[in-house]
Amino acid sequence: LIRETIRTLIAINGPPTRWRAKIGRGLSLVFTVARGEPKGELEQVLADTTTNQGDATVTRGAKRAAGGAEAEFADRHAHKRNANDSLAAVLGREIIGGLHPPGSRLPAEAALLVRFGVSRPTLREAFRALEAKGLIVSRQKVGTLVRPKSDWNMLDPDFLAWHMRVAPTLEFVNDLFQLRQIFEPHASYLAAEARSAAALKRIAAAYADMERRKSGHGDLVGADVRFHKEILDATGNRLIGTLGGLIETALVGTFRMGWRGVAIKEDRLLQHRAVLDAIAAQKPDEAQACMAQLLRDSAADVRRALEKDARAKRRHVPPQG
Amino acid sequence: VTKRFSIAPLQGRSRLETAGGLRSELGDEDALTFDRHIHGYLAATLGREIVAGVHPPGALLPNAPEICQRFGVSRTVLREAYNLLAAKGLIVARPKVGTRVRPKAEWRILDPDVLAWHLQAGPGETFISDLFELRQMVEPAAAALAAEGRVPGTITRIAEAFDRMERFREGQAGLIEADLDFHMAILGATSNPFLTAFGSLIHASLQFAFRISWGGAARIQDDRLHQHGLILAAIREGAPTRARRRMAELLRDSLDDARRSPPKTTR
Repeated sequence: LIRETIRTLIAINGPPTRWRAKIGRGLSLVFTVARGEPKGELEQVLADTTTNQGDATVTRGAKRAAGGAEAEFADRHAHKRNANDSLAAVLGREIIGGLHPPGSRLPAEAALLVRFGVSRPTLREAFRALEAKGLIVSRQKVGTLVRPKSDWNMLDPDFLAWHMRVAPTLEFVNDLFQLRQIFEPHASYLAAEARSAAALKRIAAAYADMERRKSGHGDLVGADVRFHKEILDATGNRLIGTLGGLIETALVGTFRMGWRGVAIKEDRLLQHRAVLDAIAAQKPDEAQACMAQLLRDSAADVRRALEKDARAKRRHVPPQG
Repeated sequence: VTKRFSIAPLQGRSRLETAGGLRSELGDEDALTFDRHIHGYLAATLGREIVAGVHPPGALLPNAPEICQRFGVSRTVLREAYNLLAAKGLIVARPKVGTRVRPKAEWRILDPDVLAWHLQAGPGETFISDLFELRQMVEPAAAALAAEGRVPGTITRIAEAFDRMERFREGQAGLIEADLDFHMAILGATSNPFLTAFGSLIHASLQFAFRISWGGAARIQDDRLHQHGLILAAIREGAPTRARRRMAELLRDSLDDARRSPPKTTR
């Protein structure tokens, strides 16, 4: 059973090298995984005194500990999660990944309680989080059902984060950039029109941080994300401002795919500068055009990287039969 | 239509306040169902109160026994309702401190339920114009994409919804749904799940528009109906620029309609 569960988890979460699985109240099992198979038997059984550490079931310990900018970055953007959010995240990713397809029933509460080694209220809390995002619904005498995809709240930043962990496909990236292409140039137009000195100062500050960190020292991605969020906020429209959370998740997710390396391309940096200048000069049309161009070129960067990645993967697959 | 919401809010806001009484009037079977869903009703009621400013951002919610007594619910139900609201970014529970309302900027305002609560709580004019500004970004772009793609199935869906709008123009129950389907079919033409997710915004603004403009008796103005027809024609003829412009015009005029109508708060 453990083996089966682990295979499923790998399919959903990707292959970490070291796993920690809760096997009961206060007990954890640590083991290694090689080439998609749980290798060897359990390494050790730990008395689990530390809770609230990352995922309730599985910690990608080795990856986190790998150090470097990427791990540091991942940690910073891991949000202030408690153990229950993570349980929701694990189940959410399993649903999005197709392990529990729309219309199917989630495993019975009792089975999930055993699998995750959590208390009933904790499991219920995770269920409510999934319900709040339109993923599941509880029905009398039937159990907990996965709702049709059209009911999933795609505009929820948590949902997006789970989705990005499961399937950052080319199609998904295209959809995201189409969304950004619809909002961000228009928002840049509105920001230039709004002529708010305070907002301009915040956008300029974010840009200055990007320039200072362009070689990848410090939190370059954070500054980049802030630049785009400040423009959305500068529209003065609360609903558009809320999209910032979504775009932050999308940006963090695509950066994590590692397409850009550590530094930012000089061209892209200059394009950010052009957007800032147009907003400062209060030229709405120019701001809109500059942002549209920046997004088109960034999308092309990501696509190229994904295709390269796919080619590299194909090369490493041994011939079948 | 309300099935699109993950929680079906009760009509009006007074029903839950007598929830304790209501439950006792139900048979055993219904009472069980009621318990299963009551956290949703409770969350909707508290959610509406929060967005209406009864509990302002930063404020502590009343303590648990007080709320349980007010609504006649158990602690378990309250906890589930809080979990739901927390997942929508409205509140945060801190051990030993209590449950606090989060700053407005952290609310998941694009969540279909949170959006509906705003509209039910009697939104200000700013909220309505913000909503239309967002639609103004998404829908003309989607109309242009639909005209570019000219997928036969999509055009059939849009045309079929338009037919129903004409048939129900005098305000039969199907009008709002037909109008919603018209706009959803255009969003659907993009086959981008993020864009179709904005359907909840359209749903909310349509319900609001029909309610404030015609006092609940949904009826569409001849001008607006005609504008929908123009959008359909532009998409059918594969004219992206025209489809974009027609959609922008429709939205602009619809916002004017909403602004002109006498300010009416919740029923």
